[in-house]
Amino acid sequence: MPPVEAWEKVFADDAEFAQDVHGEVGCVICHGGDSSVEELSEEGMQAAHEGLVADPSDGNCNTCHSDIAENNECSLHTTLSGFTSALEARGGNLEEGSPLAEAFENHCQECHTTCGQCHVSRPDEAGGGLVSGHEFEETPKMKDNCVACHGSRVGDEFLGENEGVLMDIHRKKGMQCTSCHGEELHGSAEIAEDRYHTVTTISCDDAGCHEDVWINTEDNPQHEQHLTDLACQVCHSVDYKNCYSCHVSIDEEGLASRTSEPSVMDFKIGLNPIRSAERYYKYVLLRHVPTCADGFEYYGENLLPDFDAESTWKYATPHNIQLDTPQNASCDSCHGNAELFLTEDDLRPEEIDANQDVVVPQIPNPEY
Amino acid sequence: MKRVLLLTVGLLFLIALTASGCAEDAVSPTPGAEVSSSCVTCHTSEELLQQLAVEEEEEVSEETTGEG
Repeated sequence: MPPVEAWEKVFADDAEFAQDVHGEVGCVICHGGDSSVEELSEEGMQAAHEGLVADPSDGNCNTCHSDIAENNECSLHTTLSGFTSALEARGGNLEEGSPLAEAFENHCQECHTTCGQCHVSRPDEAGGGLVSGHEFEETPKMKDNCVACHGSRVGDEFLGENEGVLMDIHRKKGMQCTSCHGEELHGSAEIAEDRYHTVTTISCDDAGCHEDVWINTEDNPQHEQHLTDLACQVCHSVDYKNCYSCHVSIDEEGLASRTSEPSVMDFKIGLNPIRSAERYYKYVLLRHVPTCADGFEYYGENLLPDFDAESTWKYATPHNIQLDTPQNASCDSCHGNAELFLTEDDLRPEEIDANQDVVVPQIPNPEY
Repeated sequence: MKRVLLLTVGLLFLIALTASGCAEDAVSPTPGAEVSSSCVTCHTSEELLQQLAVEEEEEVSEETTGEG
């Protein structure tokens, strides 16, 4: 995202925002500070900003939007439960005061977002700053809000920013993140384990999209054969980013530091690690996530004692969907093509045990 | 009977009209006051903000590498 000047971040290009339903309550009701200061100088600015709360989402939005705010308390954007459940599944202890909890606070918590960081300003993590003056946007903006955080993997895929890889066909047709994602962004009344276990998780045939795929299978032998055992992305996605070996620490200046290996573009079909009534496919795409057994060793030894309990190649839904892909060109493009499948040969030695449930034991028969 | 009915409907309409007028008066007063506050004066002036706004320096570790 291009850098935004300091003044632009707080510039509301006209006073209209003060007339809308949010502006009517006055600035200080939400932001604190002192609106009676008249001196337009540096001293005046400091006096006016005494006690200022730049992002007043907590404790204010829920006054009127109580139903959404209540659900949002449980959303992944608020709880980061996708992170915590993955760490706990590997035996991590996140109880208050534990070394892992300290690491989480220092390195992971920054990904938390608030109402304002989606509906008014850019997220803090992306440098902040008002998006459209101080207007409240019911629908967050794709590039300023969603991709500001979800940029390096999903954002790059969707927008076609990965070298040699086309943008997602949905984007090409003008769709935004919020064309598909909506209700689940605010969560439901329950804390979800991760984004694939929310009550409102979307699918390709939701809301009238791609229902026909299920109806007219006789026109498409590949659909007829594979609709129930392959996730849509297996045939319609292309190379996507995989990350490895994230290590966190505090540097000599006391700043939070993170290192990881350069990402790798790859495409791997594996066994579905979260097979369920809703996600019934046998084969899905898997993405390597940046976790590693000693990623938190700065904070203590063996902080993920059951590291092998969870795979490092995770269920993935890359956002670079294409109608025609190399693997769906013909039956032979996939059947017998070992390159496409995650096998034990693809695993790092220290990750073999963790991924036993997702590697493909036998490449599908070339003679089908 | 028809006249009584028309009169009643007319009266109800007048009462509703008066009530809505009163309600509008009741919510309008203070909100606009903030419009002329120093907050709005400053935050709608590009020139003033360019003079006064200072980027808070975010310290990032030089050891950080890789994608987030």
